[in-house]
Amino acid sequence: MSHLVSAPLRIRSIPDLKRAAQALGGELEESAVFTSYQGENVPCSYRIKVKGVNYQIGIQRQNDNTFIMQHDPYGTGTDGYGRHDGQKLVKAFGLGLSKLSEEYTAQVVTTQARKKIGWTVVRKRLKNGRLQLRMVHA
Amino acid sequence: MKEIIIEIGEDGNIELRAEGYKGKQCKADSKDIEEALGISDGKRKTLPEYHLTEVVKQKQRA
Repeated sequence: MSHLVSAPLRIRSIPDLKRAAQALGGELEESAVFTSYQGENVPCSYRIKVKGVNYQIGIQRQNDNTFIMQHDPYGTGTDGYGRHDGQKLVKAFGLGLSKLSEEYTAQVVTTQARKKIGWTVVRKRLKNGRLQLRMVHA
Repeated sequence: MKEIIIEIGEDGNIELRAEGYKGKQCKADSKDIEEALGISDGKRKTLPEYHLTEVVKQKQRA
């Protein structure tokens, strides 16, 4: 090993995020608002929706051209919660959108590997629960 | 075998390791991925192999 880098994930690629959302059953689209507790009026740049789910994930562009994801996990959509079904987003995309973050990372790494000659990507779930992506040069 | 290993935790933190390299080629190979993931300004640690090529060159000059 010759170097190691660690840092929090930052969303930079909307095409990779779109592929990640699709892989988990969602659909990313351009939108100025997304649906949350307050209704369909929370500002955003893009949103991710899931068929049959009222709540959505909002993707907000930042000043540095990265994006942050927002969602509200409130409500199951049953037993008096009415239209509030944020837990369905948690089920699809993970607690704190962890599954979506993982899938996005996998899509970014795969996209970058395809741009290089002779590199392949192997996915593995480690015993500690972390997703490992190995880019291997043949 | 050259490998770039990326691991993501449930907290969204990403760790990238370049393995099987001698010298600074690892930095060039992982640069695009680090930038795409937005981690290029993250905590960085170089390991002994990173400096190996330069050490050999210096010995040859001596």
